[in-house]
Amino acid sequence: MRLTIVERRVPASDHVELLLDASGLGRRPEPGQFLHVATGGTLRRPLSFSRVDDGRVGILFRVVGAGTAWLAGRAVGEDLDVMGPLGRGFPPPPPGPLALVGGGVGIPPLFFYAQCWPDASLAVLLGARDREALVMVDDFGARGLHPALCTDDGSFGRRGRVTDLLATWLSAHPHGSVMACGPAPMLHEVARLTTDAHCPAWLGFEQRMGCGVGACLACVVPGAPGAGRTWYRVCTDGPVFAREMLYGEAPP
Amino acid sequence: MIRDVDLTAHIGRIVLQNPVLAASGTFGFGPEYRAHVDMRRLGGIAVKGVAVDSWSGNPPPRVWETPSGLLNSIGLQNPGVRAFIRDDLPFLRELGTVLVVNVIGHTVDEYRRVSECLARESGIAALEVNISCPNIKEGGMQFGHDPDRAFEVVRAVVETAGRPVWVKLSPNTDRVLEVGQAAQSAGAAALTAINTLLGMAIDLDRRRPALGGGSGGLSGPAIRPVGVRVVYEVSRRIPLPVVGMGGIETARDALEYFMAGASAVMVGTATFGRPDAMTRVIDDLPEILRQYGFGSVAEAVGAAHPPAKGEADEH
Ligand SMILES: Cc1cc2nc3c(=O)[nH]c(=O)nc-3n(C[C@H](O)[C@H](O)[C@H](O)COP(=O)(O)OP(=O)(O)OC[C@H]3O[C@@H](n4cnc5c(N)ncnc54)[C@H](O)[C@@H]3O)c2cc1C
Ligand SMILES: Cc1cc2nc3c(=O)[nH]c(=O)nc-3n(C[C@H](O)[C@H](O)[C@H](O)COP(=O)(O)O)c2cc1C
Ligand code: FES
Repeated sequence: MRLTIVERRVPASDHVELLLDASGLGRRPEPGQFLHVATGGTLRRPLSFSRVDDGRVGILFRVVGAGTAWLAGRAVGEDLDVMGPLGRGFPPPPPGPLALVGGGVGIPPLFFYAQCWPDASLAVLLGARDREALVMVDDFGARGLHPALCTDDGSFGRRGRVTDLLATWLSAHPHGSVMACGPAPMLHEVARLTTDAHCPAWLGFEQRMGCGVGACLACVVPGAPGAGRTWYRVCTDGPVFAREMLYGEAPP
Repeated sequence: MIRDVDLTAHIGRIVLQNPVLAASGTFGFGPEYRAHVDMRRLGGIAVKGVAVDSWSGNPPPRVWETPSGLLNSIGLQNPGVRAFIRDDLPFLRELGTVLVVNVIGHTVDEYRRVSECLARESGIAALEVNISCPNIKEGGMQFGHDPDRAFEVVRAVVETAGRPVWVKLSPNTDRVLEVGQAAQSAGAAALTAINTLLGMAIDLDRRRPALGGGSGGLSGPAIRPVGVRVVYEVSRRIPLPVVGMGGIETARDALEYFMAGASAVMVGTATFGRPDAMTRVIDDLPEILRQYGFGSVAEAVGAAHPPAKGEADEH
């Protein structure tokens, strides 16, 4: 399917957000779902939805290689060849306080989540390597959500890891739940902290993909030992997984 | 006057409505692409390799993009033949598209047992024996690199299959003709070629092979000349129908394979980029065949072969 680019933003250096006319999209996306985008190479590139408004959907990405560089070079009025929405997104907010924990390019799907659940009582905890990679802070702010921020190099917010912010939040909210998206080491740590705190958590993963529809078995992540499945597919069983599916009941 | 172009393809006694099949391992076990591809329009579907018991496959990353191609080390993950029969075969049977089941094993006996299990099932047109599997009794050397081992595997499957057996050739050996001949003497009804080429990429950041499995199989347009060469040689020397594959993206690419001697083609990697790749090839074939002077697929098969001795060259 082809979606037309209606707006192009540059939220930070090396980052581009494209807003696409959503009228060609069959279904309304859920936060955590992704578009599989053709970028001129052999394989498509999976990118999460960053927002939905006024009949438009967003993808916000960091330029890291040939595919994202190609995408960053597209202009308003051009069409993108996309498949989607694909995958399983984040569940509705459980009762009680909820923290959104985002790292780097894991932040966009969490902003979309906040957009979808305006009445939820949300804490937003964001981290990235540096100030430039800490995207969408103003978008959260415009919704009255004031994220707690940290960067690896201390260039913005606290110096440290977003999981340090999460540890503090969990001790103050023993009945809280967590939705997290970011690099795998961050998600491992979120899994450990939330298991220890007996708080439910849902985790949005990345993996290198082929087909994006469950056919090639490229995009696997290991299932929890003894939980029945050796591997789950990020494209169709995820990208969002309930923590138990991958980590079982014991702290990783 | 515009002639109607006949797309029917014959692989032995199997008749395909058109010569374009989905290549094994790129189209899942059947239902995965149903929302994205009009599966009834395909000439056929080769499902992912099935073994007698489940295989867990290789650690990720399992794919890595390369210039005009793709390296994969899926490691033949599959749920085993009984789960395939229970969970996927009913859907495929209902679909009615010509179904080819790709068969894998670590030993001759494992191949035989998959074939036996499938022999009781209806709705399967042919088995495709993937001989590019490590032979655990011979230190992991692939069956498909040794004519004698290939003969044993193919014979075991032919004896038990009760339906035509196709044999998929590996390009990673200089003995591909001998292996093809061994498959023929073991009773194969057709040859399919080619499987992926062995390759490797290094992840510069991690200073390690990029794929979790170390090396992997190269597919996509990068390997098309290799596939065309193997199909050309095999189809000239071995009197069996050949199903060609390797890097096919367009109807022109398919025609290249027909002229090289393929009676039908399979499309794999191209589907990842464009789920409609196969249906576009099917849609574009009549025009391309006509443009190059063919009234049917059958007329194009082997058109690039030199004329047999004594036959006048028309050009
Ligand atoms: C479900 C999902 C959602 C994602 N959402 C976003 C997002 O919203 N914003 C964003 O900036 N990035 C996101 N990513 C990561 C994004 O897909 C990669 O950054 C992108 O594919 C890199 O492509 P490239 O050609 O520029 O890089 P290259 O490194 O040249 O890509 C080479 C190959 O590796 C794959 N690849 C490289 N990095 C990754 C990665 N981290 N995850 C998966 N595949 C990768 C590419 O798809 C391509 O096949 C997401 C990944 C997944 C799996
Ligand atoms: C991800 C992937 C998985 C594959 N799995 C199998 C398999 O299970 N059995 C098999 O015989 N071939 C398998 N193949 C090989 C393809 O069927 C085909 O021979 C090869 O990819 C060349 O065709 P292509 O360039 O059109 O992809 C696989 C290829 C890919 C890319
Ligand atoms: S990308 Fe093919 S199974 Fe997930």
